[in-house]
Amino acid sequence: MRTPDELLADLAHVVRTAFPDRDFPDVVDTSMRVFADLGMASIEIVVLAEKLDAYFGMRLPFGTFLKGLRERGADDIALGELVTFLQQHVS
Amino acid sequence: MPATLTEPQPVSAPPASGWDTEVFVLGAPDRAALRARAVELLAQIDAAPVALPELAAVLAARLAPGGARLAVVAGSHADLRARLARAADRLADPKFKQVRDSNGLYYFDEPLGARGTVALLFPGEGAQYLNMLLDLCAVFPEVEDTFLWCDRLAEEAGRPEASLRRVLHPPPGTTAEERAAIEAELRGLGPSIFGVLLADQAIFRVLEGLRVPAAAIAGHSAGELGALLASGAMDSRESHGSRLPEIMDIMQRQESAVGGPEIALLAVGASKATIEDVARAVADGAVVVAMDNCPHQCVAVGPTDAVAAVERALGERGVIAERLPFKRPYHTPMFEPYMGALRALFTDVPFNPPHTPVYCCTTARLFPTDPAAMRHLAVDQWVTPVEFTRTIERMHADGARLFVECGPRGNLSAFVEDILRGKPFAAIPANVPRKSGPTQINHMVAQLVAHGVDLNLAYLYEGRTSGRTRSASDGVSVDTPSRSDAHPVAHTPGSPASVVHTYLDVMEQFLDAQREVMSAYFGAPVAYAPGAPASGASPASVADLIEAGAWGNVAAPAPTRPATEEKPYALIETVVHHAPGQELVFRRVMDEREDLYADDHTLGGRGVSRENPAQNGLPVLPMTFSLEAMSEAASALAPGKVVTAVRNVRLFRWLPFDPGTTTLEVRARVVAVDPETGAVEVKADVRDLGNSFLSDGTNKPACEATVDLADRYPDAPGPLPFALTDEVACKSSVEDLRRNMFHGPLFQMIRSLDRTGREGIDGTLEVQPRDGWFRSNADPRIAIDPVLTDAAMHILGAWHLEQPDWTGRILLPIGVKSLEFFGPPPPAGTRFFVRGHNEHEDARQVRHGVELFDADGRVWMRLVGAGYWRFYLPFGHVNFFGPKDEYFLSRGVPDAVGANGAHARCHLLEPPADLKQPVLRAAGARVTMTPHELGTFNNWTGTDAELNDWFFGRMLAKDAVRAAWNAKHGEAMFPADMESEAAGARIVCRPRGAAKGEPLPPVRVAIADGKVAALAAFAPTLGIGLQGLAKNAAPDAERAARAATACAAVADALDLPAARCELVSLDATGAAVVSADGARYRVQTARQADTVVATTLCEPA
Repeated sequence: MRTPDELLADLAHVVRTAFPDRDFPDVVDTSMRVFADLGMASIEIVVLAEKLDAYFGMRLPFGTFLKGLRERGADDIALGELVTFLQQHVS
Repeated sequence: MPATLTEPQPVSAPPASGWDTEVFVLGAPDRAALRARAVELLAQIDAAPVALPELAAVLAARLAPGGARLAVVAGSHADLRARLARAADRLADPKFKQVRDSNGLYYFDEPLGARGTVALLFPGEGAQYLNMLLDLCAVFPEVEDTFLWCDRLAEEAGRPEASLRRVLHPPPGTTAEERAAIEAELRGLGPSIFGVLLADQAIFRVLEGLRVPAAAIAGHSAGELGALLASGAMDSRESHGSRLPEIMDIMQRQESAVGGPEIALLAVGASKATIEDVARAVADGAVVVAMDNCPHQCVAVGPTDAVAAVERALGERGVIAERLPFKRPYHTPMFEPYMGALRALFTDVPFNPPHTPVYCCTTARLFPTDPAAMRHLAVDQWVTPVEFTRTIERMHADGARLFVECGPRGNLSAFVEDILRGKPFAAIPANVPRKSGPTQINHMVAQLVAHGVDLNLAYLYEGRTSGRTRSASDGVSVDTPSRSDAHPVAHTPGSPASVVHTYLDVMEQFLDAQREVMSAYFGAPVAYAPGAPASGASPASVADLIEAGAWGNVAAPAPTRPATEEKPYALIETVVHHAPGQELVFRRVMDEREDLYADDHTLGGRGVSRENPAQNGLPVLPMTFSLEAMSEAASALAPGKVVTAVRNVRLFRWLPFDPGTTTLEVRARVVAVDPETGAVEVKADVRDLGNSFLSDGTNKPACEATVDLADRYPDAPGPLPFALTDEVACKSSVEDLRRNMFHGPLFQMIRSLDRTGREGIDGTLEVQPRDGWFRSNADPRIAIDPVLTDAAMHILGAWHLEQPDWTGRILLPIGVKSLEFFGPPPPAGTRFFVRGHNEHEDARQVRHGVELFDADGRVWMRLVGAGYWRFYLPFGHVNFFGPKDEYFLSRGVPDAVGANGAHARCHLLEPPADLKQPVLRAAGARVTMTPHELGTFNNWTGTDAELNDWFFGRMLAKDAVRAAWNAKHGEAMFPADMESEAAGARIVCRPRGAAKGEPLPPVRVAIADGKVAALAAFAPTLGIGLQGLAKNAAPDAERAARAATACAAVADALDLPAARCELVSLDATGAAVVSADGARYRVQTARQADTVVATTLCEPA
């Protein structure tokens, strides 16, 4: 079972390798937001989902995750939310 | 075009106005030297912080072509320092080949500007969002002008209520329900297409100002229209724009009538090939890809049941998909029923070979150059799939490397990122909802500059930089400007700003010299004799023009003999060009010292200080003086004739009187002559040659109109129909009217207010003497009477006073359909019966008419279709233009102060967008600030956003102090009679004049999340906290915000870090206890809509 810190490190690694031409903050934490702090575009969430599937070797239910965010009116995604999502689905 | 899957929501409130960041560019021969420059700049800033706009402008002016480049976007000195330090680290580390930090740091070892070309991409429908580009309107007049255009079109079409801007930029104060309705309307076919097209054009004008070197252009879906316009292939704005409201209506009706539940659209996070595979397997190909946006987004369209099957199958594959909230099947043959209006729109549009290659998004190739083929493609793209992926791949193959998105939202840039991932390219949006408009423009500029693209960076600083700067040969050295320094600019020698100022200085001297020469020649008072032309061999005076002889002798040379029989027109001062019977250009210096009427026409009100009763608001040129100026020019072109009408008046912007002088230029041109009737038609405009609100006014008319002249005035027509519904006697008195207008005695001609009803109002008026308009001209010669014309419209102000709802009753004119005269200007003392007509009103605009009848009941003047823009300022029940000791721009928040004996008063304000508009903000300053404060305001050297903070912070401090003083002493104070000063990080207020019985109370100000709050109390220690809150915030979030603001209030009061304060308790009434350094203090918290505010007098708990 990966710890939240390990999952955050995994997530940061996937983000950096998925978008190698961007200069992301040296240190990331769970409060950082995907759009506002990392400067990603919404379509890039789809790309990130694909990369996370590949990294963890499984199909993650990203569609459901995003639908849940939308239904509660979220307009950004904190890395902590992604970590929680990964915790639930990555054994 | 659909939004992407988890689309970030645009900011919910109108964004902050003004430049909240600056872009700083550095160049050097190579990377090592560039790093050295960054380090050097960092050291200089640490040693002597300078105003950011000045620093940015100097760096921009010093940027040489080529070499290595670093670009930084920062909104504060701290940001700039942090980014320069990060840049120095990155540049020292060879493993970083580039720096692309979305926070605002850009550097590229291999800049793409040298490896390929720049392409512009125009987004189409789906890119729209509420209030898009609203914050750019405040910093780029071109953007504001573009949006104003739809108001004007609607006005011309006789349907101002149909203006698209109503939907794009709803007025402040729009409720959540209204907002939801507007957003739904904005998703409609017409508003979505034309709204984005307008926004595209607005951004394009900014890119033109920056001189972005576009080598190719393309548009996505409806964005193709923008691309064709920008490429020069199509020019429909002038010839077809007036049909815009009609076309949008037709499209909306078609959308409502066509289609049906059987059609569904699905946005899919997968490639076209994936969707087609699934569609073949489960829907027998009935679902088609209408838009191939990029490998991770397509839009599929088809019958609802087939789309549902595809959606299920995609879900089983783990593909993200979402139904779109509309059912128009565009970019498929099923869209053909919607095409009527679009085909009609294009029928008469001329197509030309483009000056810049333009790609077609349905063929993924360049548009053909044959006009008929171009038109065919431009229309048929609506029934043909969008092939954006292939188009971008083609453009990249043809050499495009830098893709600049010329429109709102930034979706296309994300598509390009996805399409070209792994290849050398950059996709740069000019606008994104998550950043303010000015900041994203700065990011765009930063990336282009870092990629080696040379831009006209001076464009960013036009009219903004005003500090004293100088440059040293071995780096930037900038004198720290003083905010109270009232001296004019001394720019870097050779900089564009310097050139402009030098030019204006020379021009002013030249005009002064001319004035003196001509004054001596005529023996007339200085400034009222016409001058010689600036170019051309023969001097031309107004008298010359009058003597030019018979009308129609258009080829006659300019006469040289001045006449003495007739005096010059009042406003024509210096003739700079004259082709008799054809064209006339004259100039006039606007000077408060000479133009006495200006002091009676002051935006913001009058008598705003007891200490100086002569202190008024901001003088602005009345629209009617622009009409007079154009009428005088027309009269000079058609000697012996009279002005019978001024038509199609468009007012684009205010012409404020600067503290110094502003030069007005009037251009007039004869466009038609009827030899049989003697009628002459003249088109004219008025512009200024620069003022502190818009430094480059040249070639930007502030007002334009058509002037009709004839041998005699036409016979008076009968009155317009006027049947009053719900007729009553006017309740308001003439004194009420005067208190509610910002006009002084010269303009106060209304003598009685009689009856009123829904359709209008009746009253009487008496013409006043004209000897007080000008200091040097007691008997001005006029073409129309501008003061009488203005004063006649005051009857409309009285009508508004009679209305129960005063919301949005700050009215400023934007245009007039026609103003007709049926007799010469009447002598002083003439009495008229005046009738105001209410032609139309909606939330943003009103349209009125006025008729003046002489003693015999004949119409002397008729005004029709006078359009006014409504401004919304939160002054509650008291008039912004009325007595300033009675009104508070901000609202009191009694819940935020607990019961106490200190007369504590808390005030809160979310500065309305209208009041951040530079001219209105300046008017606000004129009526609330002391001369010392106005000196700081007028010579501000920080960013526009910092000026907003300074101004609204001081205003709120004064409001809270005035309220507390009044509570204790029962004495109302004028804000302009209160001097505010900085004392460390605090604001201290004291009386402007003699000291009072006790000092004014201490005050604390907090600024956060676009809101400003202030607390004043007769207490030794006080503090305030402020925080924004989502309107639908859950109770937990609200409690957290109350806790944070309570701690912030105590921290503010005790000058402690908030981390040393801890919430002890918070009850249901908002009363809290906060502990700090072992003591406990009482705090009161309160929620006002989307804001939480907390105050404390540090009373022990």
